[in-house]
Amino acid sequence: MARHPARWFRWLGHGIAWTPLAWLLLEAYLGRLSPNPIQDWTQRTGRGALYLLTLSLAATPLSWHPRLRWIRPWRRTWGLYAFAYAVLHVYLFVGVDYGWRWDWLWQEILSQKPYIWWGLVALLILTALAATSPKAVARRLGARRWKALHRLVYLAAVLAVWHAAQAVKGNVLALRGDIYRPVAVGLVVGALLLARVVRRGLRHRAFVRFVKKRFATSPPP
Amino acid sequence: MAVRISPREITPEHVYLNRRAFLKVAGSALLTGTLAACGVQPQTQTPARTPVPGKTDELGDPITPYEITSNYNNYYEFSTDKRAVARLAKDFPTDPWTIEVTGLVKRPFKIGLEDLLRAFPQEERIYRLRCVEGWSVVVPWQGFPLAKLLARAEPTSEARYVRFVSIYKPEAMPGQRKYRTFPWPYTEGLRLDEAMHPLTILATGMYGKLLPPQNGAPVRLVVPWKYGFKSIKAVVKIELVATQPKTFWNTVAPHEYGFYANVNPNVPHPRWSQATERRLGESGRRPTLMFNGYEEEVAYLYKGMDLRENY
Repeated sequence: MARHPARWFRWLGHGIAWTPLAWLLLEAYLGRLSPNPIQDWTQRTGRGALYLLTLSLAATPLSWHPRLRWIRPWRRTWGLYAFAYAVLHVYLFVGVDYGWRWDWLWQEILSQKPYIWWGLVALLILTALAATSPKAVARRLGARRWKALHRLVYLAAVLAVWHAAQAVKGNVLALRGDIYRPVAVGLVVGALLLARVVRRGLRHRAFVRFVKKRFATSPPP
Repeated sequence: MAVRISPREITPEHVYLNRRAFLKVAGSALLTGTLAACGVQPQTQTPARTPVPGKTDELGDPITPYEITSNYNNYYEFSTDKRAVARLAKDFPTDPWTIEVTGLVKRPFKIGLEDLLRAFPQEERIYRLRCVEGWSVVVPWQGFPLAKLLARAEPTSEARYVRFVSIYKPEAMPGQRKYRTFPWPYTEGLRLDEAMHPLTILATGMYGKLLPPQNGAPVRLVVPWKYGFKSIKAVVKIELVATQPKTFWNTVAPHEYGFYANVNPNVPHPRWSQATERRLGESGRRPTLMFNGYEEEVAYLYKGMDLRENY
């Protein structure tokens, strides 16, 4: 008998989440990072956060398939990994790159650099979601409010993509420069959000059809 | 000013090629801080700044290891990936090479590279190079003052600016084929007084040997008080003109890259601050200096100018 995929997938699911960091550590250990290693670290942990967030958003649409229902809880796990990567990303920027020099950081943030703000808002959202992630907290919050709060993950994903897109050298809107990666991730995130909208529409129509069939075509006894 | 120096007297190659020191600086500073928490310990623990033994610039900062400066290159003619340039440029043909000095001059001339090296004695200059992206290196160049070359052509009284043109060779430069939205060939420009300034050099070598292709072989401009993109590589034409010439990055993104492009910590780039920089090979940041630390020598060139306007 084959074991249920939910069991063996545990290894794969965590393995995927650790891959960006493991790869980075390995390259650093082998001395294969660029001569600007701080930039490598900051950019690649940021990318890790974005990938994990995207993966987290993919869990729900995948779970719509009847044989993949078990994947649904992974949205939480991968979401928490995304949060961890984001924290590491910000720590590297503030602590390692800028060495906690708030005066320099302040100058950096003030110098018309809005993309830092988009990233910061995304991080705040992820922080709130991570904080309300334990089941006990979720219960105290109530299902309705918890759901409303956690819808913010869509906003966080869009902001994170925009943050990444503005950080690259080039112009995403003009499709010019080094923009391949943020555009690709943006398209995936867009598709995952669109999938939810489409499904909602379809389910709504199906529901209407069901009601009509049940109550309109068959006359009450 | 710098003295003439034979390649033999220059710091031996092994100092620049000190791979161990480079790896330590690049790897361990970060690793010790961030990996300890993950239970991973790097092999060696060294202080964040391991000075490379040897020469320094006039401020006492050590020369950046050759491995770094020859493997981290902004050279879009080959690739936008700074680490890919060295590999892609490896076989770039630089022989034969001719530079044309033309425009508003009494004696226009063309000169081959060998004649150039013979006619203009090479000096060593240890300069800081600050990239507009926020990183910097210290490079020992071999070259000669551009003023000497210009003097030989005898600029006329109408000449006000100098326009530099880089080579256009798409068959050998994949970036020129790939990034078609850029206005190739690369061009740059200086005001004539900037071009005549004794700090402005044409470089033909670095670290005591010929320039490697990825650093702009066989001959490039070096203007140490300006952001790196002003220091055009692989120069084939130097033209004296009457009006401010169009330049590559200023054409691509005029709001982000000005004609003057003087290193200035007080004037931010539209997307980032220029107040600090990362010196490659060090961990952390250091403050950026006005005119990249050459304020005493060059500030007079911009007296009365609004440097915020003329960024």
